[in-house]
Amino acid sequence: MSEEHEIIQQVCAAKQDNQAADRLIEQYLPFIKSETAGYIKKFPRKDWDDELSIAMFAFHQAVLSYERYRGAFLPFAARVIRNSLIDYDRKEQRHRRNLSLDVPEEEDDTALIEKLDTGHDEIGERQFRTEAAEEISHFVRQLSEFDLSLTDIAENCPKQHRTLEACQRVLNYARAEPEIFALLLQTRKLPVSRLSKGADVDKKTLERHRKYLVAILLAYTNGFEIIRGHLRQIAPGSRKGGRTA
Amino acid sequence: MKYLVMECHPAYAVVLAEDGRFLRVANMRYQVGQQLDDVFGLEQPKAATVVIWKKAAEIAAAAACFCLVVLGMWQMVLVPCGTVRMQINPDVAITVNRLDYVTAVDGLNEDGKQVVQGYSTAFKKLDTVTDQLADRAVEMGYLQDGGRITLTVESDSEKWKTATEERLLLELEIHFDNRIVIEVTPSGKDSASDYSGQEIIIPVPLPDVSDSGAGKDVQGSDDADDVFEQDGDDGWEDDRKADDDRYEENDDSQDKVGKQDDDDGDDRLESDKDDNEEDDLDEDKDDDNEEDDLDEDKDDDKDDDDETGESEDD
Repeated sequence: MSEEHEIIQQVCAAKQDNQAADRLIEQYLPFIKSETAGYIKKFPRKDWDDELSIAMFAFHQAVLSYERYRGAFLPFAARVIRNSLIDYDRKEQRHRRNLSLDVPEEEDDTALIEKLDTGHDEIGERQFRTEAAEEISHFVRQLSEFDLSLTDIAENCPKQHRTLEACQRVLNYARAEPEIFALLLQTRKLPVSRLSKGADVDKKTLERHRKYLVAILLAYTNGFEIIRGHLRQIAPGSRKGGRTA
Repeated sequence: MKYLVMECHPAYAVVLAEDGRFLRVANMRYQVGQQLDDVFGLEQPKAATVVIWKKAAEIAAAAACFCLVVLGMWQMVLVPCGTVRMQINPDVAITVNRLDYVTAVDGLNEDGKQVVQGYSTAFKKLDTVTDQLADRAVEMGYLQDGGRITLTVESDSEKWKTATEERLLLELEIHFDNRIVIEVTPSGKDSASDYSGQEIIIPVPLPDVSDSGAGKDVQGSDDADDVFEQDGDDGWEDDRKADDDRYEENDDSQDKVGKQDDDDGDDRLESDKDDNEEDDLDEDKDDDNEEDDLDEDKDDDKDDDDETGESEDD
């Protein structure tokens, strides 16, 4: 009884704090593995089986969506994990007949991908990844100055197309008025009224997605070429949401 | 769609999609800065078309349900199940729905219209309406003790008809404490009166002396008789008398024609004999007249004989 009470407290703490959530998942990794093994009928390896990653993500979702009235946490989490594994299994069913590039062959224990010439510039990709990681690290530091984390921004991200389009209109307006970026960096505040008037977006929409807008506007300030380049792959005007600034 | 891995946690990774969304997805051993083509655990924003179709389906379903309810209500409340005709002197038709509620009352004659004038049938059952209309008839002086109410129930459902007849009979007898005679007539008996308001004109050609004309005339009079039975128009009798007078004027020729027709064995005339009883009577009269003529002739002969006898005596 006390153990159940303790886990509920941990879950409640994990809902508020991302670090606590990570700790809880590490603590209950054996439980997650056991649930995964019950579904895939073999013991999952952490660095190998995708199912274990899916089960860990499902456990995290269970932590976020758990409410006390739903009963005991662990049976609830077990059900969420099982449902996620079924979804994943169904999604992957279409690829079941294809050969996996990552699975090692029985003869020489080397993966198929290592034998094939995929045309990828491995060194170039690794270099890009390193540079991107550095830039992202800098971006995260900049965000922390606004008391924001990427997880917060992901939670605050618009879910609907219409809202996303409204946010993109704000971004396009800001790109046409460069002093808005300077104002944002200087005051550490989002000029909601000016953006609302300029982009013709409701103030409430801006307030509701303030964290996301700060992040996306920050990405368009100097020093984040890779992130901007990634976003530039959807050139303004080429999609519904992208309007020319 | 490409995704850039922005942050990695044991259970999830935060990725930046090309369209500018930051997403939390399952961490399949990703590294920060890695570019991905596909992710798991992504809640794709619902396409607008799907939402529109869903909305349209919901609206259509709601509309269908509404229509079903309205149709059901219409069937139950507005569609008449039967009609009760109440004849005192005022003649009133009461239309009833399936729930035994009265949907309309109509006065079938002037008195009936006066009785139902200003009377509301809203939310009233058949028993109540018959009682109240009978009371109104009493108040207006149309019905007194010892009077008679004739009820005629018409409906497609025999069961409903029988049950309603019995119920109304009992209800009105109790209501008037047997001071009024309640009579139930089977429906259809008085159906001929439905045509009372219609005027039917059938041209009757004047009888010709020729054979064919006489035959047509006789047939025309048969049709007129049928109409007379249904119509009950008093004016028709005058016309008929006028026709009879014309027949009497031409009785000699008609007799001849009738005899010829009989000789020819005309089946149609034979079958119409029953309907033409009065014509036959006229013919009989004509025969009597002939006999009278013969008697007179005989008397004349007798007189002549007497005269000759006297002369002989002389």
